[in-house]
Amino acid sequence: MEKETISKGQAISLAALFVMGSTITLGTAGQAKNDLWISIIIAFAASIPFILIYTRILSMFPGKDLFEILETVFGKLAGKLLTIIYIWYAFHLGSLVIRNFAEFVNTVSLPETPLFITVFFFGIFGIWIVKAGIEVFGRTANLFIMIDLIVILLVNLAVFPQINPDFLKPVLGNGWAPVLQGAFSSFTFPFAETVVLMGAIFSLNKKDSLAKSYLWGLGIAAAIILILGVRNVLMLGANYVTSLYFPSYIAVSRIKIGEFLQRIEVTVDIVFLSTAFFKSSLCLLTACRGIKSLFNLSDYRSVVLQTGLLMSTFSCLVYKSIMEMREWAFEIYQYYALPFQVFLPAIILVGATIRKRRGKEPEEKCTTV
Amino acid sequence: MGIRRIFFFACVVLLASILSGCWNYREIDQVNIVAGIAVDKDENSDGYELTAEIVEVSGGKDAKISSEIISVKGDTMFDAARNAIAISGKRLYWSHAKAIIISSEQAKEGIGKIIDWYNRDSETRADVNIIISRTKKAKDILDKAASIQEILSFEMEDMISNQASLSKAPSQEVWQFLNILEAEGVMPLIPVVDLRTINGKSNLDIDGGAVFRKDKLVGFIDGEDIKYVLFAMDRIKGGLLIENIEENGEESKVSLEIFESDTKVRPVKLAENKAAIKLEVEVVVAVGEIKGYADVINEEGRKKLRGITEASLKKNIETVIKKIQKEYKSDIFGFGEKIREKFPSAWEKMRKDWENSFGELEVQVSCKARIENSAMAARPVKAGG
Repeated sequence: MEKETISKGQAISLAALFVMGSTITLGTAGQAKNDLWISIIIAFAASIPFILIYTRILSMFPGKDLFEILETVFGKLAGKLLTIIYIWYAFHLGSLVIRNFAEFVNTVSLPETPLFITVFFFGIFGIWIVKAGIEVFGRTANLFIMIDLIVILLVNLAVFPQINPDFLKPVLGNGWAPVLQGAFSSFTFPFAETVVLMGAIFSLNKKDSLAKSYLWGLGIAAAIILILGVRNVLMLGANYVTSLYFPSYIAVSRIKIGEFLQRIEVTVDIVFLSTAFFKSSLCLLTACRGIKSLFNLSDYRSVVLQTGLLMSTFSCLVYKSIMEMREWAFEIYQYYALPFQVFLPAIILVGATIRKRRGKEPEEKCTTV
Repeated sequence: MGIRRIFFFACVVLLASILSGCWNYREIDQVNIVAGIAVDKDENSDGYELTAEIVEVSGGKDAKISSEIISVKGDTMFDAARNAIAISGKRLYWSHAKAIIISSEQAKEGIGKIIDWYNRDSETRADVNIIISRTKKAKDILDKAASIQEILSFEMEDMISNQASLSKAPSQEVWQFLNILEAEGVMPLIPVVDLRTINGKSNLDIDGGAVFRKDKLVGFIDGEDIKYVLFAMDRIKGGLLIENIEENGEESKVSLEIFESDTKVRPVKLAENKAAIKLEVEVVVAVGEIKGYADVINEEGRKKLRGITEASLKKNIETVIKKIQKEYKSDIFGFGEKIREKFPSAWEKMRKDWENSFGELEVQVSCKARIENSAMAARPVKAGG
């Protein structure tokens, strides 16, 4: 099988779309209210070392994805166990993202359409692109990031007549505690979720640095999340923002320039849709690569259809209501995600370093597999 | 190849015909487009009586727009909105609604519970104007007023949005109201509508504001005073100032048009738990009319006029603030919020008793006026001889 690689630019686009996905729909760091910008900056800064850990692990074993590295470093048994854990994380995260977007469609525009219909078509397209492979993924991402950035730019230019700078005051009026809570929440969702990309983006076609492309992607996404978060508060006020499920959508629906430029909230659907699509599909890709590695299959494509359909079905079952979804996303998820994002990568890094130090023999044995 | 091609085309046709439709498709003739609603207390229960103004489009070539009124009752707002089906046979369509009129009777009991549905539902839009009716029933506004434009609710929206050059009524949309309701140290101020008989017909009249404490109505401010309230809130965009000026024993009135206004609200800390507010008003005006023969254009006259304007503006703003402090004890200006922004620790000590301490809050007003031009005429009219 030929090695599938993507360029640095494509990796940046993919990472950026991945990190934006579903965060810009739901908003982030609501705990911090009008200080959310501080939370987002802290969370971004805190996630940089972890991104470096992820990419360091990948660059120690060039051309290998997360799951191959797990087996190389920890051997058959422990490696497979960790593989199962990460398959679960990617699979679960993918379902959550699909559900977030479906819930948005269902609440805002199609309240009487069954959730499953939205989820199903979302899943079908995800399966399609994952089957097409990471190269198609990369090229599509390059196209969509441009569309998204242009839409976001144009929409936010139209926002200026309606912002009220007083909404950001007082800075740190409630002290540091809520700000740090918000930072923790947006560190785990979305910034450190980048760990899932270790199973999807691991080999670039030139000798470009993975760390650079991950960080650039994350930086672009963080900037957009920051801009949109601040815009929502500036337009709507922190109190109102925290009472909404989909603050960005409501903020854009307020835009009114004269009589002609108004009710343009449909444009943000494009951004919500494309980012959520890339995020869930990348999760699916990672989960499939994990399954391939778990059962020693020759190609991950043979399990894409099954996994994709399971993921869609699971996303219908995972929450009973949108209230549950919100509680999970902003109150529980941060603790659930910590092992996958922080503890396990640290252990893997230590393991990989030890394995590297011990000599080259075991590593070479495994590469011949 | 043949079978694959047929299969492919079958898929395309099937998907194209299934996916292009809507799950629950509603054509425009199956819905009633709501232009605005009036909410009253239902006398017989603790529910509401909801009166909706519905847009009617009739005629093909020269389409005529008119409106019709339907009244429904329900235990909750949502209940009433759905009960409309029983009366008109169609569901109400909310995206074009422009006004919610609430009777003052209901407003005295609180309007938060009315607003909730309007903010929560996905078909309604939270950027509609809230208006308090001074008539006994809000229904009368939609029922009895003769409209100058076709649709009363749209007319009211224009009246409110064009206040920018009148400044005799505030504006408040549903989402802004909720923001203020949840915030500390600021209370809502909502425009008021009344019926006024002109030439034997009742007309709408949006003038003045309703003062709230939390979500309950506590009193009204009339239109002339609202102007000075808006000065204190830095929400003046235009409007007129009428000044009396005396020259050679003759009284003249000068209308000044407000071009620009900037108010700085500066909290000052007096003690650990005491603060004062400094208001610095800067206004740019133009002489728009001289009712009389006073020369306010020459240097001396301009100086005099400026002095008079500054003094009367200061006096009026102070009076209206005093009045609200005394009569309503409701911080519609958001002074508490400003103190919280600047002195968070002092605010912690003041917040509990803010309602009372607002009544005794010291507010110092200083005004600066600049007369920029005198429109097209370079001097006052002079009577010959």
